[in-house]
Amino acid sequence: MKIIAGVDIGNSTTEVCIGQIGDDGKLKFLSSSSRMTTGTKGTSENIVGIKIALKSAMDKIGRNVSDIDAIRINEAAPVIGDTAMETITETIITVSSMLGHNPDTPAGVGSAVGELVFIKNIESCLKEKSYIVIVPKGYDFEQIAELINGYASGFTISGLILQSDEAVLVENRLNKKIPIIDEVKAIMKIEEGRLAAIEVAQTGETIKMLSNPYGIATLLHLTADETKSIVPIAKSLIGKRSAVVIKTPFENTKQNILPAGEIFIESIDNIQSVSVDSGAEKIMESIENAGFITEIFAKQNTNIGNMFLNIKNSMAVLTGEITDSIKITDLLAVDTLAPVKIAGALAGETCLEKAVGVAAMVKTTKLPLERIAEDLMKDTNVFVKVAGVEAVMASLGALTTPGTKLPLTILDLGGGSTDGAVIYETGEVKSIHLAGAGELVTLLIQTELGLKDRLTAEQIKKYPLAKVESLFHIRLESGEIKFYNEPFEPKYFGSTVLIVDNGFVRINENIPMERIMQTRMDAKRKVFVKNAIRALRNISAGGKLRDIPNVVLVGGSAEDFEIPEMLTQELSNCNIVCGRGNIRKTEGGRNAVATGLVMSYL
Amino acid sequence: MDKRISVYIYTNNPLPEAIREIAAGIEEEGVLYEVFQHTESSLDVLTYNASCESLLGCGIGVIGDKAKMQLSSLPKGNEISSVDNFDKLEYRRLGSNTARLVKKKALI
Repeated sequence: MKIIAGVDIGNSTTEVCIGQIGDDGKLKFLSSSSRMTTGTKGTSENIVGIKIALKSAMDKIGRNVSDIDAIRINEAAPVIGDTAMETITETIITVSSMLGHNPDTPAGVGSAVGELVFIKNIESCLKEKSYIVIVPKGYDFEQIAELINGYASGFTISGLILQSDEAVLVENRLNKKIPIIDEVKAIMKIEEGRLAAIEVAQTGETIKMLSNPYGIATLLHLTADETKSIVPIAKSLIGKRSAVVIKTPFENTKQNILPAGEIFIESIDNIQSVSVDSGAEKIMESIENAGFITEIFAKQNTNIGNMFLNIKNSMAVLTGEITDSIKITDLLAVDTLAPVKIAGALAGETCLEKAVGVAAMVKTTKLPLERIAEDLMKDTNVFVKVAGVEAVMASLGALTTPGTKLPLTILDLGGGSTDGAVIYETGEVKSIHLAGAGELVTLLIQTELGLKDRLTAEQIKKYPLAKVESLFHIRLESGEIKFYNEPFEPKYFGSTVLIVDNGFVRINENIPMERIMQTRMDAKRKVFVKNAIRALRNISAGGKLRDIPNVVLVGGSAEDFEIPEMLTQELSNCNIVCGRGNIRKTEGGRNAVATGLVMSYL
Repeated sequence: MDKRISVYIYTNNPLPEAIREIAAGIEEEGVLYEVFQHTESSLDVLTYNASCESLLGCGIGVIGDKAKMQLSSLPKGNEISSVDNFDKLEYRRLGSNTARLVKKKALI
């Protein structure tokens, strides 16, 4: 009797399958495990993760790693993927000239115009003029109301800007109601003496005048040329509940088109170039029309160029080859919007700028897995062999899904790449590796929601959302309500949370749940649906999707709670039956390669 | 007398600044409140009673410089937040969070 371990080292996860081959030659599966891959796939750093995964699998059956007779590791697909985001436009406002934000509790409604004056200088105001009074912290709300009421009979105070969160408190004590904006942290950056326009919208509405260039022109008496120059300001204020725009010298606001990178696609008979700022659709069209791609490269010192250089360098370190000999052979570009801080804005305001998210992949002939096998053998005292091309092993493992037969097509949805393979009755396998998978989805979510933390984006990708509506119940994103016996901690109350394995994770950013959900679903569609179709077109006979009768989804991202259903739905439009695999009837889409490695021992 | 839809603040010899700041926190969020004098000496009991009497199910107790806030749906002594020493910002925050609980907004 022999115990055989199959080990699949992926970009994100290392998976193990343990099987027992009896004296009668029959194979029985005993256990499996899945752990985070340590280090870059294909390096000696992977050994730590492999040992942890092996121990975990053997612990489940009460055995030791030393009881294993042979370890078989995958001949890993020699690909490394990476991602980058390139912003196409940038809004620059060079002098503090606008402030638009969504304070929780502004007060007053309407728009007003006036000269800016700090409250300490209010005595210098002139009778015939109209003023917007700026009040830093340190003034009590009753004191502010008393001062404003006292002076209001002398000259016109048309609006207030407060640093503290006290707009409602002040407004409730004013004799004459005026628009008041509060929670302006960077209030000391406002320039006194300039003409400004202020606007506060009704509850549930957004501003109309200051988000419209002609509205700003009306309030601040702008010329046609000046109106043109404040279009970026108006654009940045769309959707806000309140805003202040300050009239500053002409020509200090502009929207830059950044010199975006240019991508060059080399195929057998020609080289074509496409600019990143022409958008993802144009880039992908060029990639698809290029035929057999020998290399993709980009101009140096652009975001894209630097990203290409980084992944080529990583591969060079792995393989010992020189950077120049390593080729990028596939790329996935996706259009997106990125909230970017506006240079020169007063209070950290952001503007949604056009951006392109890119995943690229490098390929080499072989990854140095032999080295890992040798080191693992020394470490564990167990015989280790590099056995089996990944695509073949994945297809073998997928065959353990009930209801499958040859020819079988698989889509391996991983973290770094989306892989497709078809295995025929003859044993022939055709496979493809494409850039763009789970990690690009995370990048898109992080970018579009403006999240500082990649981990939050990763969790949003993986877990469903809910709103904590009381101390005892949540409303899930599906609309379902769930009650709990024990009250939640107060920190979760009123928040949007992710339902994780052992409780909740609170999303600290103030983003509506519906927007997070839409961004998550769009990111998954843009990457996996697109790549599924690309992969299937590539491996199908004659490039026709209708020649593929059925597809089994395997890999980490096939375990996602919504990606398989998205693909099932999308591919059914092409009459393709597609579903998440169920490896060995117990593993779902996971463990296909590791299982195949054990099976191939026979 | 008809009860108003408001947060109840039950007090026993409170620090005036504490009441002022708590009330300001509630008012800024646009929620109504009412202040009552009592002789109860236990802050937990005072707070719990305030929450039970309030039609919003939300009550605050203030004795001296100490303040607590709780919901009637929780057992006595299970306050959502409290202030143990004089701190103007913390009193204001307690008031704001009381109103935010009522409005089902995340606490600050």
